[in-house]
Amino acid sequence: MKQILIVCLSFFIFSCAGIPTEALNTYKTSFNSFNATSDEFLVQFGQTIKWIKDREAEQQGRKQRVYQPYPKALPDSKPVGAIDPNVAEMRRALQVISKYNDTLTALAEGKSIEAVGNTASGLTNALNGLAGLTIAAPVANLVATVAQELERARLREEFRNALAKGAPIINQMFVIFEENIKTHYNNNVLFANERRTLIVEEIIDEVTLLQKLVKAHKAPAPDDKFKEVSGRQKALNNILVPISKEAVVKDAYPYPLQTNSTGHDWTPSVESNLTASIEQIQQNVESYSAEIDRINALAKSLTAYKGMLDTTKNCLDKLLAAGEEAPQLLWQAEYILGLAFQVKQNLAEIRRAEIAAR
Amino acid sequence: MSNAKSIKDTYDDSLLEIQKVLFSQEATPEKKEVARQSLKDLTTALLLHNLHTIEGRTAILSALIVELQEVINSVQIENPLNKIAADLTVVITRAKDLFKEEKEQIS
Repeated sequence: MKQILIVCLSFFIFSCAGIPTEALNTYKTSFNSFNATSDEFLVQFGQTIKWIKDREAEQQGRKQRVYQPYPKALPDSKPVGAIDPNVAEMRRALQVISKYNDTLTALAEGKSIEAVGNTASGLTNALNGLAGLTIAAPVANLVATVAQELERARLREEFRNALAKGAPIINQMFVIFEENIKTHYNNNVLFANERRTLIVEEIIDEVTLLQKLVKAHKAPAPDDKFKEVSGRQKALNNILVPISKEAVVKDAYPYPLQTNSTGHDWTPSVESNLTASIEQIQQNVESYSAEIDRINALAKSLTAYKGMLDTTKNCLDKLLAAGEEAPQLLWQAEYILGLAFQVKQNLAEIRRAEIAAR
Repeated sequence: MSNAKSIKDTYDDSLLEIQKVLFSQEATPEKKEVARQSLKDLTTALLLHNLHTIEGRTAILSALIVELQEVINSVQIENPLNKIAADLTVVITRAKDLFKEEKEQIS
């Protein structure tokens, strides 16, 4: 009767669903890729926060009415090069999630199952012969097997509990990451709008000076060694194409270069001033374009990074919902590796644009 | 209309007005200086608003880190009964040995 009971119990335990290891592995692969790419994002994120704090300090400085060449109040003690607390907390969150994933892995690996089997065998061996008690070998084996299966069931329960409690917390952390990614982009757009506007202002001011310079002079005679004004006009129009869609500019473009028949003679000095002015405009337009390239590369990079986060969230949801059948997650693993490469590629573009914008 | 959308629309409208002055060929240097300062103030105000939002999220993140750490601490990777059974095995083996010694002494 006892043996039948043990066999039935064993059958019941064997028939229960196991830990979804495939779903766990895919989620971990996805998270690890996201985590590895996060350093790059967090460096940028921290840099932008530093710019904002510098801006805040600058604004505070402007409000200060009395000159004071030292801090107004004792600054917080902070080691030089300390990581911004917002960045530090995001890193800490990633570390805790990693630790949590390791805990799930340890449960899935089930090293304690073998340990429990060995202990059960040891215990039956020890009991064998004690006070005339005899335990037959098949029964001893069955006891060890049942103990192992009970341990497997305990681990499975522990795994499900850990997942049920931990996954919603991680999902909330991921939402914060997602929101910070969006805010990071918005902050960069704000900085870029300001820089772009100031660059265009400089360009328009330079164009205005250029127009005034040309208007103060007669057109160079055809036999002079000077470039024709029409050629200059064509060059200027081409240079200004990137900014031609900006507000006000779109109505004024192309900016005409008109000579004045009653003006001064065209001299080598006018010629060189004109050349220098057009070169300056070109340089500013290049900085303008580089700023736009930087933001476009950032947008692509952040979209790919957010894609990695979405995929990781998706893998976690599938792991949470995984029942007896292992979910099909292979595509996520390949997809996330592609996104990681995209992020790196876009970061290289951002760096190139940053150098060009200087 | 959501708050974020309303802020964005107001920002866009303000930026456009500032650009109209800065990109104009007729505006006086004084007018342009005012516009430049307005641009800086507008950008700074929104950046600081965003920074405060990030700091608010960081506070929530800190609480979530503590919660997840508690979940990790509550997980039992090793079976607590296994330790008891292993200790029990040692005791029984020792009892058996003592019993055997006693039996040998009597006989």
